[in-house]
Amino acid sequence: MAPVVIEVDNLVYTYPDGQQALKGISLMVREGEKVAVIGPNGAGKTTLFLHLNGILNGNGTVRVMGLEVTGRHLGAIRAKVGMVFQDPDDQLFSPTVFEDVAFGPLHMGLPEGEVRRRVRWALTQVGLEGFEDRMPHHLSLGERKRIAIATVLAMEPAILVLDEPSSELDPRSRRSLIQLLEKLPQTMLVASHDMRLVRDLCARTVIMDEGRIVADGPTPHLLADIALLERHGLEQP
Amino acid sequence: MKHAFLDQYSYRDSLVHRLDPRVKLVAALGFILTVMVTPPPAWPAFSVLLMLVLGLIWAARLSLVVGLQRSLIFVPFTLVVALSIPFTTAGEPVFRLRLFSWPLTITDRGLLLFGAVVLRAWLSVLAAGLLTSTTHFVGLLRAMKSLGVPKAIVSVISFMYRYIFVLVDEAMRLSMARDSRSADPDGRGGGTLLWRTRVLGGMIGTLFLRSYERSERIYTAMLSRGFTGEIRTLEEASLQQKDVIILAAFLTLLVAVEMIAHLYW
Repeated sequence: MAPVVIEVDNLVYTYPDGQQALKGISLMVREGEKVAVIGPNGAGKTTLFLHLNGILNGNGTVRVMGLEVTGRHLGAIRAKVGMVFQDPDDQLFSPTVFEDVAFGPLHMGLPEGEVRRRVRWALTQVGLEGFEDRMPHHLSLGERKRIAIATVLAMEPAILVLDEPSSELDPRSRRSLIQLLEKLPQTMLVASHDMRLVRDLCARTVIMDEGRIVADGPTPHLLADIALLERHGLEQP
Repeated sequence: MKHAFLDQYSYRDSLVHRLDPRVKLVAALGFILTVMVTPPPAWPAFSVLLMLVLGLIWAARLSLVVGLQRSLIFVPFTLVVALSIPFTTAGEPVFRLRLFSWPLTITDRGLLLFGAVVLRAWLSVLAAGLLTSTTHFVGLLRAMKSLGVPKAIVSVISFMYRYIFVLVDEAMRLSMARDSRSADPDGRGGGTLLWRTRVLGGMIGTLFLRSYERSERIYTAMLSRGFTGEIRTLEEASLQQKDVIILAAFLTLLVAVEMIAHLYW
């Protein structure tokens, strides 16, 4: 069996305002798996994701590629976990696409030639070669979502964590985004309300509700269980 | 939504557009400095400087009319600041008036200084407008960085440029949402001025909160990609010989104008 790359053990997190967002999450993901995390709004999906690269620190242990997610390992872990946020306007903060995609590699301390090579390579991966000098505010949402993925691909991460990658996309951009994600070899965790994306992309699905994992298994199996889906405010594709 | 209030003309092509942004930034700053130190009675020197900037606008294939129109935005700001000058500068009185029971005296020296301040502001705005109409914002940012402007300041300006469009979109969505619900079926709608002001205040507050929350999400996204507080950028290519010569010639011209102005007036 492939090695375990993400290991979360009994993770509990309470927001500063006292709201308990995670109530004991345990999860194991093996290399190369594409796992969907579904559940109603407020279930704790994004909160869980923010623990995978140490933006948030709850009680319990989180291990990524064998490293415990603590202050000492944050630099290494953030190079291994590529986090793609829901709103590309949050992720793309530089005046040009080039500078945004180069941001991660520059912070890894790579030499200039390698930074340029990686930017070109990452943009090719997402099908937007030649977009280096474009400005984010002149791009469509679908293009910005792809650039957001390129910004983490340029860091050559082992794991991709995507929050709502297909939200607000028109059908064509959505389709091509799913194809792009299918093609990428990385281990993936995908939070989504898009059940067709879940069905097409992820062999395994985790259902979260009210800060707990309530189901974890093969996607076809979970998506066939109408009673389960309806109990947690979900629906079939 | 697309906005064109920045960078509207900077994608065109001309000799001026093709110059290195660093050259243009230094030249514009040099021009503004020259304008500032030119003594008030040296009108011929001011005319030379005006001809120079208008000539460059023409060489950049920008419309002189649009350039002059846009340069007028300086008027309200300058007048507010400069209006008191004719009354407060010591010199020969040329005109007296009474505002209610308040005696006011306009002096010759005051008028001269007032004219110079307005003229200086106008020339500076023309030069700044020429700079931003012929240079990409991104080029300007790089120029600032390589000329030694602190990275933190360049970053702040860069964020401003990136997010001003997002903010304008957000503000437009808010005001569309308000307008869509501002029905007035029988002519009695509209509300009081106080109420409308309060609604507007609420919108501004909402915009601020959203920006604040966005800034936290942006920071999270930066941390996720390895940001540790240090801003890293690639090195800039060095200046071409052609650009250096043009800059040297331009600065020499400015110095010459200034020396003549100071010798003769």
